[in-house]
Amino acid sequence: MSKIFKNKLKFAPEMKYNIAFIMILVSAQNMLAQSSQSFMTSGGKINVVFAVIFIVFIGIIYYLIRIDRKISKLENK
Amino acid sequence: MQLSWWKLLCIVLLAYVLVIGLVTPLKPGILKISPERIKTGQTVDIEISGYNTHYKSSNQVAYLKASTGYLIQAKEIKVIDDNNMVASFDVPQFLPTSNSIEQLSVITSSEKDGSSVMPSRLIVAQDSVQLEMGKNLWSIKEPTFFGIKKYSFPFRNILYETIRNTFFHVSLWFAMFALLGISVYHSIRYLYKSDLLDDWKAYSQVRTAILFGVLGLITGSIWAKYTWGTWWTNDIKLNMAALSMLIYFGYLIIRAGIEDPDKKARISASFNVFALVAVIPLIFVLPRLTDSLHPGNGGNPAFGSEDMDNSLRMVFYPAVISFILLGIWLSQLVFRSDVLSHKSESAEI
Amino acid sequence: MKTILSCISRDFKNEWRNLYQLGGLFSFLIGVCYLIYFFGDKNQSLSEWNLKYWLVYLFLSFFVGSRIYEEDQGRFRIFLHQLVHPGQLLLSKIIFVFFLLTVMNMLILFFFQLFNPEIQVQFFNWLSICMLINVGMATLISFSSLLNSNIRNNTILLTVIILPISFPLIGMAYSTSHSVLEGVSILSVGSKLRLILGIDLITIAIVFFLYPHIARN
Repeated sequence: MSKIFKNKLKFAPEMKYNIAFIMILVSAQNMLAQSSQSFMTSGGKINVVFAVIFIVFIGIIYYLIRIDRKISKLENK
Repeated sequence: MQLSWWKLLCIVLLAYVLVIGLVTPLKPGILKISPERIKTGQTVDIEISGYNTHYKSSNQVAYLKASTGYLIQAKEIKVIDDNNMVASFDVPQFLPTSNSIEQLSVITSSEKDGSSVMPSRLIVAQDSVQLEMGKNLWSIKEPTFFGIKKYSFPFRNILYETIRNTFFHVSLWFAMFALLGISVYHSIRYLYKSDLLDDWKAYSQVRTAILFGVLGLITGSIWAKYTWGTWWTNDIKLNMAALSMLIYFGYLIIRAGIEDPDKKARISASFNVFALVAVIPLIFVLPRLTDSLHPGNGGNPAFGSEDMDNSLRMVFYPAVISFILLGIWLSQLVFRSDVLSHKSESAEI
Repeated sequence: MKTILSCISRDFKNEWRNLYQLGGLFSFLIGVCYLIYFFGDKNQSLSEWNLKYWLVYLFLSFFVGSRIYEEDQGRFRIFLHQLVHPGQLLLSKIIFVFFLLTVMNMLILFFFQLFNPEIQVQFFNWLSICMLINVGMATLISFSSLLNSNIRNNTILLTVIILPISFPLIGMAYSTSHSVLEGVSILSVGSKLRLILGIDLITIAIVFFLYPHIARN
């Protein structure tokens, strides 16, 4: 078991994807801000709820894709 | 893939929360009134726009209510369509208050829609104050209130439909704290038993908790934009949440900074315990001392009868449980892939 | 007890021998105070003054924290650990940092008063708040320094770790001292003082629960 840990863990690529993810979310926010206020507030602000659910969904899918990529790398070895 | 009972429960609860949380209608309520400023001693026509209302299908009653409890009833109501009607009031010369300006609440009531209130929006001005005369002109009789039988969420001004975000935004934070708690349990276990697997479990849970925290900040920011008007307010709870995220980024940095695996596990485990202890006063104690827009802080009641009613609770608690289970599930996936990658790396050697 | 005292006296002697380091710290302190006076608004409000005070305090405490475990590196550390229990060492460091921070507090207050004499500070109230904050701050700094001596000794990393963690303490310090500056008596801010005390106690408890796991080799 102790042999396993002698390898260094590499974090740099993961961090890069994290930063990309946060940038995408920020730009999505900006896009929302530019789109008309009336769209978000129409229908009793129901679209705000959809935006929130969408972002939670996107976040979790992004997390899953990262795990998926890691596992497929393992499979290729 | 093993589909154990808690994963099934997570899926079922998530589906339940999504369906019930989105399909259940809001209670009928008043969206807008115009004009918002009137004077005494006139007959005024007040246009009332409702939300989810059925003005056509049942008899409507409308009242104006002063803060002292006195009210007048509309003499005539013209229904335009299901969501719009015009109520005309004979506003007496004098108000039943000792101020020259008074904020009145508009109340509409019918058998089908129940009673809905637009609190303190209609501003009325009088020329001279005559308290006793005002009291005589207004009546104190309680209006007939109707309850509503159908299962529905409460209608809140400004919030409207976004009250459903309680299930998707608030439960993210609950899940984050649950995950952090579990990870601290694993960290303490590691400190006593020195099993590296425990530390990896804690690490995966912290990462998932950070994901939930970041999502919580972003969704909260969107919600804030359309209720409070800005992406980011100086509200203490927001800033404290951002700070606690910073503390956990510190955890990631520490892990990245240490080479030796045993040392890495030991130090990051102790930092994890320390971080949770530092975060608890940030989120649970400090916001209670200062003003805050969030419920439960700065004199605002916690999730009491004001903010949560039973119809919301029936979806909110399952939402919290399902998000916690989802977090555990995600962190387990990360943990398993971590273990696999270390195994394959050791097999290569 | 004796070992703790001798450890503290060793720290003081160390400082005395490397007087230029301490001198550097204090000249930095004076420089910052003067800069704030020079560039700052001359008739500033109480809250501004208060904020500047705690910011200077915060950043100077990082300076203090970055070097308290510095001299105990490498082979000397193993030697030290044979002589002294790591808990005693930590306690002695905390007490030493506490003294240093209190002296620093008084110096900052002195220079702030020198440059802005119109702001009235009740000295003993101020001192008691500062000392209460310093207990928690010293524990925090010593703990992070201990953590840091186990990682690559990197001051930037240390600030990244301490800055968010020290926020509750600094925030409480700011709000408490603000109400004292406004002339509220120290007895009526008792709830805030109790909260600071609570944070102090929690910090101390958790640090002494965790240090054996970090110090062990």
